[in-house]
Amino acid sequence: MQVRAERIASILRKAEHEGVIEDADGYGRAEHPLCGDAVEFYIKVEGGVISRARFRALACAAAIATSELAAQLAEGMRVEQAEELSIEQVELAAGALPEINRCCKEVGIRALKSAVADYRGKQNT
Amino acid sequence: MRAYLDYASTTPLDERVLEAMLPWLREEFANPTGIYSLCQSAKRAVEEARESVAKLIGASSSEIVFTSSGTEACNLAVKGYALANRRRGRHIVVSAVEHMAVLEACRAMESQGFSVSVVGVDEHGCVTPEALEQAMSKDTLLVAVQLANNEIGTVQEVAKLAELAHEHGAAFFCDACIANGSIPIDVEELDVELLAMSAHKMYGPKGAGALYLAEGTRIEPLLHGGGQERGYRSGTENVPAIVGFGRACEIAGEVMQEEAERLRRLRDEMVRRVMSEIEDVRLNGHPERRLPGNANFAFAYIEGESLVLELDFAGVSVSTGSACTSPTLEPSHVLTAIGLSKAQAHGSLRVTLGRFTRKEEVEHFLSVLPGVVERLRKISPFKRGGEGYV
Repeated sequence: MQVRAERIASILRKAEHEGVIEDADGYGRAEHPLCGDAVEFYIKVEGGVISRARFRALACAAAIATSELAAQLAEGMRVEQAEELSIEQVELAAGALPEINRCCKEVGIRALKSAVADYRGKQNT
Repeated sequence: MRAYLDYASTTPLDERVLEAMLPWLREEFANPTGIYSLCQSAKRAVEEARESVAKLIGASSSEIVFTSSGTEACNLAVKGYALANRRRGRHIVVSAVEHMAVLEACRAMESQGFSVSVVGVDEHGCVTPEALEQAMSKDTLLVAVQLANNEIGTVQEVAKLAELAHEHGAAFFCDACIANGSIPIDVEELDVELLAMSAHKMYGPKGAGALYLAEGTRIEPLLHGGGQERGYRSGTENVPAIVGFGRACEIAGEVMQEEAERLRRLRDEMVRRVMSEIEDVRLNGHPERRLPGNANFAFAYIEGESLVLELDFAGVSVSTGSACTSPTLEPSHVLTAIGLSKAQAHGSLRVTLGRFTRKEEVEHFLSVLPGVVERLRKISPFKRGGEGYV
């Protein structure tokens, strides 16, 4: 079993989704309810499919790593699928993450969903 | 390259300490309580160590009680003193920046009928005589203020504070776990009744601590049993660790002054470069009155746990007071006590140098830090002037 730092490190070293999309179709932000960690997500949508996802974070390494995994998974996903994304799905795709606070794992996913909701809102107006 | 810059967390064992300990882990294994020669040899080793520990702080060896750790020494001081003297008062005053071993020991006494007042500190982490005066009452039995802070390094004016406590008829407990071996301690000058020490913070082994108990000071034991340590701390003595603690104190007495000067120079240069090479960073703790090897920074717009892990990937071992590293997800109580916002405490980094820190290690840290901070700031949604930042 890999210890926490090693697993998180292996994800962070390969991180490719940190950043901002200037002309994003959806933007969302989420904060950890206790520690105040914050993650922002930007998505670009083409034909109902998320073509690009980028994030920024002031957060612990675990939250940054799960945001990266969520972004990887979201790209190529239909927005309806992204709305249903769970930490279990992320772990299924990327392998189990170390025992860390569930809120830390979820803050990135919540930010992504918030970006999807923002996109949906714009579609409906 | 690996740079270990977390000496406030724990120190490596000095080779000379290890050498002194080895016989007591091998052939000299006997129980110091026995009466045959092997036991008496162990007993002598414990007593010699007691003298060395006492000498470093200007105490008499009869005033030293060995414990299993600094935490146990702090618990024995607070609970032991309060329980033995409860008829004289039921109020304990404690500083807001104490180690959790002291704060939690005080809080535990609330269920025993004691009330606890927590004294705040100024922006540098100092307990002022004025603030202490305000917290005192006629019922105050004990005042607990550390000698130095393990996070921000601030050294308290303990002698002044102890004098004030005594004017109110209260005894004074000083947690010196992080200070002992780094700065000179003279219990006569400090005039405290109780003082806690720890071996592993000063190049000794884990598993040994000590409580200085000024002659005539009464405490109740926390551990009952065979009556070791004059009945104050039952349990077979950890002879190798105690011998190591004694040797660590001897070495500290020999090298402390020179070591402190070297560390202060190394630390000051490191602080100067961090502050000049990186924007939006503050130094936490007192600008001058601080432990020689301690630096504590707050980097705005980033989070300390990811900073520590990124630095770890780059071969640097340091620590943080960020909420993300605490089981309660609350930021360090020390950083909030000196007035840092939650956001500022988020980006804290403690860098502590020690006896074996080489200039190259500090250089390595300084060479990787700006890049790591820049990378984390690049992905941070927070910027100058944002919420929680000045």
